[in-house]
Amino acid sequence: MKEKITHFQLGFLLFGFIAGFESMFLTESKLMKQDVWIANLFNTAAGIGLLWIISFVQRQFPNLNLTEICDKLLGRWFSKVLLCVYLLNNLETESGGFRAVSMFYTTVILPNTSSDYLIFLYTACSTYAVYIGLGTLARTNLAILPFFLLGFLVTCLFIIPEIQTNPFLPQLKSSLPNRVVGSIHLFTFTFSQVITFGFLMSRVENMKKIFPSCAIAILMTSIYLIMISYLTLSSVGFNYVQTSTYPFFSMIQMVKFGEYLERIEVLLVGLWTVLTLVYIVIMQYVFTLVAGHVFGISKMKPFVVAIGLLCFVHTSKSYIRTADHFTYGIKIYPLSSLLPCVAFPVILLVLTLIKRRREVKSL
Amino acid sequence: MYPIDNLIIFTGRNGISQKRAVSFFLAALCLLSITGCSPDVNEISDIALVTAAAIDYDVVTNKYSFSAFCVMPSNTSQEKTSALTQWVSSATGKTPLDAARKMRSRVGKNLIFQHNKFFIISESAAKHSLFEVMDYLSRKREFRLTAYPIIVQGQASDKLKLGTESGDMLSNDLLGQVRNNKLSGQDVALTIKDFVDLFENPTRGFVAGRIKTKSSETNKKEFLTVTGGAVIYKQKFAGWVDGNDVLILNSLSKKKVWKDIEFNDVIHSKNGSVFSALFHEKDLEIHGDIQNGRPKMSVYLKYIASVEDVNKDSDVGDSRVILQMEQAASIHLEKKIKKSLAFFQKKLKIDVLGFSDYYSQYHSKAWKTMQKDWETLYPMIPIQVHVTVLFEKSGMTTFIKEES
Repeated sequence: MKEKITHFQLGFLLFGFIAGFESMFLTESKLMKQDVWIANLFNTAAGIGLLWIISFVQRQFPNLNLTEICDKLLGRWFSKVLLCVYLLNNLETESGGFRAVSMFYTTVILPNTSSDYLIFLYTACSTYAVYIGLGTLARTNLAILPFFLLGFLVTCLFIIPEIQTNPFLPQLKSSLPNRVVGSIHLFTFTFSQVITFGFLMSRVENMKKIFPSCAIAILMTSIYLIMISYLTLSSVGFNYVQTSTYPFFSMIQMVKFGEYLERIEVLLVGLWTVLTLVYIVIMQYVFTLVAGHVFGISKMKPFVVAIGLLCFVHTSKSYIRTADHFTYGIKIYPLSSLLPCVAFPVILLVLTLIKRRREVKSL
Repeated sequence: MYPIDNLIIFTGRNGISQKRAVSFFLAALCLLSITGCSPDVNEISDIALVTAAAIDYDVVTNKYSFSAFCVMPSNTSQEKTSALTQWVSSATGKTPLDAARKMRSRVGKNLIFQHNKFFIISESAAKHSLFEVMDYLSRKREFRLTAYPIIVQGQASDKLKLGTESGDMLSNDLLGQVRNNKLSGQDVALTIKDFVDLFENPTRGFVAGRIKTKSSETNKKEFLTVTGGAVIYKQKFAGWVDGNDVLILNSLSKKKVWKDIEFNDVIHSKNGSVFSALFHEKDLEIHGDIQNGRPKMSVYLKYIASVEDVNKDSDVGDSRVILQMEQAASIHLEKKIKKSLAFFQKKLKIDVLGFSDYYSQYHSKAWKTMQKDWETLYPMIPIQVHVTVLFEKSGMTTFIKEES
């Protein structure tokens, strides 16, 4: 029998999933500057809305997982088409994640190391993590998060003397297109991926508690995101945030203990890399589950390795230039994610409601 | 059932499987050894640390010169510095990178810039090519954001060759001077991060660090001293500011700049006495207003002070005497601040104090109309200065009787 996880573990997975990856580029802070809180508020509301939709659909079919629910509601072939669209989105997200980590390392820490070599190491790690299963991943995440939160708290405390200005003033001065793009960008890179967690909801012991625990995780993540935006904008400065490729990393570079002890950022980068791996592993795990269902694979063991190889090849051929990665992240991904991450759950909700009404009528 | 869920290393009920734990640690050990395969590994015997760098620009040839003060890692501690293990390397090139790469390729060691704290930029580079220089310094991953870009009069590379009065390594001496700024407040320690952030602001200027050469009072040798500042406006060097004006600039900046500064000054009291005091800024409030479409500002400063020496018999234990001294000190500091503000507004005509930032943050509507005329509005802003001084301490003696 498949190992179950608790609703508590699922909530922490959601926090770890987003906290690790999203703090890398802070694109919405670059676009919206002092109005970044608008993107965060929108993101929280949209994330909780999406979570409610998916957990509602899941609660109506407690014995089925989301892929089986799709089959039941949409019919076998239409379900396959939509799941394939999701798989494409999953693959591009995952490759983007792999490339973001390797790009960060080759730009900041290991300039002479080949990105393919780094991507291979990450895919090997993530494939092994997928192989050992969700339960282990959930427990590992629980073991890592306290260290991450402690590191983050220490960073916050030591960056306070660097705060120079109120970064949320003057309010509402960013342009409307920037507000829209920034909000959609933040949402598609963070809580739109609640759909990915939808595929894991059938594995939670107490399904009724999924919504409250994940909603708390979403709120906590939003607080974390607002905090890092506040700290980064106020300590590094608006202009520098816009200039910097990795503003949050620049911010943690400012941390020093006393007069001489600097370079603390390496510790936080280590923890942050592990959390980014959590992000990638969850994406790859769900990809494996969904692809197994879509293609009707019975023997999963070699299939896990095949998926790992696919991820490696796809990543090593995608977003090769830094500019490609940024352009894709800002201009294409926010739009390409809307169908699989927003329209897909909404379709499921509408069909579930229609089905419920029909059942009530037939009674 | 999916086999991907079968293999579990840590189980909630049964604890860690011994066999798995051993194989996990063995695998981790093997993985540790692969770090040696990385092409980013540096052998300690192959490296040399750069502790200060200088960038020059020749307007005639359009060429940059990059110089580095290098030290062998075994002798970087203050006690062990010796002439044998320190040297200055230099090369010229078409861009800052071109010059730096040429210099690095000629040196027999792998140069490490992670510990470099100073980038000394020549006046010529700051005047004619500051954008290129700052772009290079902020783009390069090896340069830490906490390093100080400092402008120097004349050539920069020459300055690396000067010795120090203390006999210590150049960068240690300069760092000591930056640290000792809390004793005078007359220099600016602007990091690359702050430099780049202010550099992009089109409406305001800012003051970066300055290095000057001075002759020693004990011998004829010339040494470097970090004092005063270099004004940068519209991404170019725009002039020098002396130490007294920098002190006022620091006093009117963000708290992190002034909170540790304790400067001394000589005050002439109304009763004819002259005394020295140490002043420590306690509070700063800057208010801006708009009257008839024109900005108007007020500055409130509060200092805690201590009496350090008095030229004649004055009982500093007497509150009337102290009140007189406080009044004299307040008037003196107000005059001093007004003088510096007049210099920034009327002579320099560059908003180095960031008043434009204040208006854009707190009067954003009015700022929209003021922004385009800011250059003409700024020199005419009336600024009221209010200083309060509180003498908390007066030393170990109340007064020494003077022979009549």
